[in-house]
Amino acid sequence: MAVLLALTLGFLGALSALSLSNFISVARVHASAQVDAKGAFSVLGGSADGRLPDGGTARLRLNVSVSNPSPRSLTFDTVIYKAWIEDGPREAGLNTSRSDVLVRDGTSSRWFYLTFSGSNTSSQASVPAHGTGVVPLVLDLRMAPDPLLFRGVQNITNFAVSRGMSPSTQVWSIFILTSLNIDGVPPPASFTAPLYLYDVVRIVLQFGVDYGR
Amino acid sequence: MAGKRPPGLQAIVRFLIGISAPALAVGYASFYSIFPSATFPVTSDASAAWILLILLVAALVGGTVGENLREALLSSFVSIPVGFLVGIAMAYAPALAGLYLLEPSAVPFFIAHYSLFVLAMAFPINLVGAILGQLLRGRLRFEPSAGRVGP
Repeated sequence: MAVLLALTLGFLGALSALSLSNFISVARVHASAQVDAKGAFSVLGGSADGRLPDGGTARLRLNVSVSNPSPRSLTFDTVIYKAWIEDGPREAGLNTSRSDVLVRDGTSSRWFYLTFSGSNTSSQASVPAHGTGVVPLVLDLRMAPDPLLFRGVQNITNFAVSRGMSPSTQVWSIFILTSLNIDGVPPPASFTAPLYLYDVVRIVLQFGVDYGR
Repeated sequence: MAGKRPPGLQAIVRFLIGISAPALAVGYASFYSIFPSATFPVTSDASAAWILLILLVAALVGGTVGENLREALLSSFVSIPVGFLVGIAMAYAPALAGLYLLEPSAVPFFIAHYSLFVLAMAFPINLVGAILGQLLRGRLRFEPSAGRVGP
């Protein structure tokens, strides 16, 4: 009977230890993964001086990267993005009619114009354990289908060029909200599963500030 | 004589050994039922059959430890709150590494809320396990001696 008891305790101890190991590795993902975003703005089809013509394209390349120091790999699910361009003409008092957001930083105030917003669910890029994964996004803005938005960016870009600045030096405020699934942690299959189980199997990371709109 | 423990101490040790398996089973089953996708075995939803099997086997084995049915029943019932504490300790484990999947102050209430099924099932299963364990103990105790009976 002592052998039976020892075997049972050993079996239960092993189950508990493996469970704890799994649980701690999942908790480590939740605690340690971080998101970063870098943007590069350019004008395609523009004039030699960098102005954005009516037939041109304003392009913002966003690299959304997630660093994952945990021992579990991740898979990108959804990337929600918003990008605001600093509204130079508004700050110079030339164009105050745009629906910008005011960002106060201490004593200074800056105006930003929402240029890109949307979501991406198609990348399914993976983030290896103890590594970094990147979702590259290429966001283009042309005259069609939103000429009003395009005119705003055109005005801002051309204003910067007229001040001797390159479009690539424009200041952007980027907001990212991304969710990633933790590999090896299946989502609940039952429709009656409690909601917290959905929070366990994935992580949601945020970069930047969402100014709304 | 010096190696012999007093009967009271023996009973306490037997009691503690008796609750160890069912308490660990209740703790593990509670933890597994709450986080089936982040424990072991990894499943999308908690398997009721697996939980019942674990509880029954541990209750049966725990039931064989008691000297009599009263001891076995007492151990099996005390193992439930002890197992609940084991489940809470498991949920706190990541905190040892500075990680928090749950708000620390909410863990006991969270575990209590979501392990109600396991804790409720543990009562009848431990009762049956204690009785079966005593029956098994009786058979294992008397069968060898019966074999030695001879002319």
